[in-house]
Amino acid sequence: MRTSALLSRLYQLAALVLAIAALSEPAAAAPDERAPYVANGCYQCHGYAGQGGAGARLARTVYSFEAFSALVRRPANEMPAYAPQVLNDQALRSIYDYLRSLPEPPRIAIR
Amino acid sequence: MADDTRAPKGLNRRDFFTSASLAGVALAAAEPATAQTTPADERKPVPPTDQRLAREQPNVDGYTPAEEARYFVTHPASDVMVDVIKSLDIDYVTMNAGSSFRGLHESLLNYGGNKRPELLTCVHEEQAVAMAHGYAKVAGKPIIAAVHGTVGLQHAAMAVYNAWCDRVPVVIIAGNYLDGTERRVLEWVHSAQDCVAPIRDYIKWDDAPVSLAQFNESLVRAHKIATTVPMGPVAIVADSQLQEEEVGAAKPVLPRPSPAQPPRADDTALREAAKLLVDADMPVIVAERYAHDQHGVDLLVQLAETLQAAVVNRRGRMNFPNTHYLSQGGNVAAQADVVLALEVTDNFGLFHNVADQIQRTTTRIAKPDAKLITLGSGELFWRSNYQGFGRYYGSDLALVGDAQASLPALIEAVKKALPASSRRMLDARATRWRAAQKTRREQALEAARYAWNASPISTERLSAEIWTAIRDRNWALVAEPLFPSLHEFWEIDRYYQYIGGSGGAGMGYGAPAAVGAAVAHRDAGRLAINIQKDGDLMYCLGSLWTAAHHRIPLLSVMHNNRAYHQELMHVQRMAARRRRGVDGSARTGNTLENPFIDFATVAKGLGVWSAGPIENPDELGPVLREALAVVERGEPALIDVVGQPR
Repeated sequence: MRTSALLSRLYQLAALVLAIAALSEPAAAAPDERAPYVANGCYQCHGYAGQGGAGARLARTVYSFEAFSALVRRPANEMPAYAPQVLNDQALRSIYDYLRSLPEPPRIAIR
Repeated sequence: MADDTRAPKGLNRRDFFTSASLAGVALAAAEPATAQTTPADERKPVPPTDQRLAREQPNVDGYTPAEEARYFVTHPASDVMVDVIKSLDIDYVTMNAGSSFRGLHESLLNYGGNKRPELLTCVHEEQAVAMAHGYAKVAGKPIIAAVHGTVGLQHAAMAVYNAWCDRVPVVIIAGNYLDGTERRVLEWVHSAQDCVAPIRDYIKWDDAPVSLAQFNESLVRAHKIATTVPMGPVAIVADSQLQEEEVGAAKPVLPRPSPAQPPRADDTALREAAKLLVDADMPVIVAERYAHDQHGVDLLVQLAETLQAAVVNRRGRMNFPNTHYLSQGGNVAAQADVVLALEVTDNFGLFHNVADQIQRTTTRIAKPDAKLITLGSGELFWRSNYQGFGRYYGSDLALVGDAQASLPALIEAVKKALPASSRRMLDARATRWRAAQKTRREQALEAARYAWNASPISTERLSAEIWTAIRDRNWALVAEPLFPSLHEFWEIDRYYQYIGGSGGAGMGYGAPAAVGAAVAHRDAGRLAINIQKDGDLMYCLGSLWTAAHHRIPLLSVMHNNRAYHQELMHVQRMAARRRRGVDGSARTGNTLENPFIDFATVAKGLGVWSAGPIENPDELGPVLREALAVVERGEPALIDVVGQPR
């Protein structure tokens, strides 16, 4: 029992380390990961890099998938509501993963 | 057999003037006899008439007087028209050649010397009017757009509408063939009994003179009406025959131009407005098409600093320096308890938002008890059909008059109404606005990071790279880019550095208006920068050729997002609302792809130095430096940049 409990804690620790690593150094998005985001017109207001513009900044969103999904399905502002018939859960998840995977932006200075 | 129906039934206009000229010759021939009857001591020296000179000087060409009258015109009426145009200090005539104003065209060249005004060759009438629109906003005075009667005026219509909505003076001269018995075959389809009718709903005034004297007076009147606030386009018909007829050597007395002074708002009402502003906890000033020149900007700075009131620039003009700490974003108006709106068209929209939803809901975004003071000239002149005046909203105090002309009195009234004890309160406001502006700038810089290295190139990166390239030059922006980062990164503190947008939001304004504005900047020794939208350029591509032909220095940086993105999103919204449509279906009809438009090649073909398409943001800096070197040599240049939607 003690061994399995220890293993369980080790697994939990490893998962946590991996999660932190994923947050701090996300992998660059492959081109096809952006496809649902582009095909459904998200970039129109939120930019190809999720940088925002006419709509809110979405890059590296801190929302959980559930919260993100709720905002897409039942937006509070003028954003169109994307029903599952138009944007299914799988595509929505892909969009979320794409936005989460975007790298830390560079530090910049404008002269 | 001769066709009797084609024979003149009576004297036409030319026959009349020819007869009159011959009668003049006959009269002149009788002069010596008359003179002989006059006593010698009553004779006074008089200058010889043209007819007498013609008789006394040998006719080297050997034409008889009848042949002279048949073949030649010595003093065409259009020469006098040029005299009137010159009297109005008109520097340019934009035009796409047309037979209905060939007389005037020739007079501008060979009588006027093609100087002040100089002809600017356009390849479309929409371009000609839009160039005049852009020029007037920089030069502060109108030029003439000459158009070919029916067909040309209808081509010009959209550009006229933009000038109308933007309250910009443009003087249009439209050729026409009034006399049906004189028209050749094709001239019938180029003639109208009322050729200005298609645009009358969106011009301030027009006339179709039937005599030269009336033309002269109407042109001067038109110029005055166009330049009197609220300014706007006007149109005068120049009858083709009238332009070409012989009018004799006698110089007519030209009508004297008398520019109108802008009307000022009532002093009592201005004092009332001052009291409301001084008593407010948070006064905010909103300016749209307020400033006419740098003096207007300086006055607004003075008023804002006196009250320590935030200024929201709705960018119809350059109204207020964006470098000033009182320059704030549009959202601050919602926090105000008193809003002073200077030359704002949509007062309802200042206080309300109409959501784009199935059931359109109107939400008040201002405080429930916020007061609105309006000061502007818009209420002095409106037409009914086109609805640019916006939804009605009753302001708490409506001051009618030119806002810039009224501001000195308002500033004095505010200074008098401010209690001596207000210093600490004003300082606190200043501190608040300085902090707010600093925060906004930091947020803009933070936002720019996220797509800094992205391709397509972000609007933030594009703004920043252009700014870095031009900031040490005497630059002026001649476009209305729809990305807000430009207004955060660029330091716009002189009136001429920004001229607002089209007015009517009609496509096709951007390119030609930029070229027109660049002409005025060239004359003032400034570097004109255009940020050119791809969709807009496709309407008036020929503007690039005009810039090359007349060697108009202008740097155009394409914001080529390869689609009508606003419309694409509208279709996407419809599909989402109706829960249908496959991925990407909204692109059909909205994208400019398959093939992509190669604007660099297009520009090159029109004689303009070009580069692109640029998709890597790191290439922007070097190519901008290269293009600027071309422009500083006095030539136009275009860089095609593939950018993000907005």
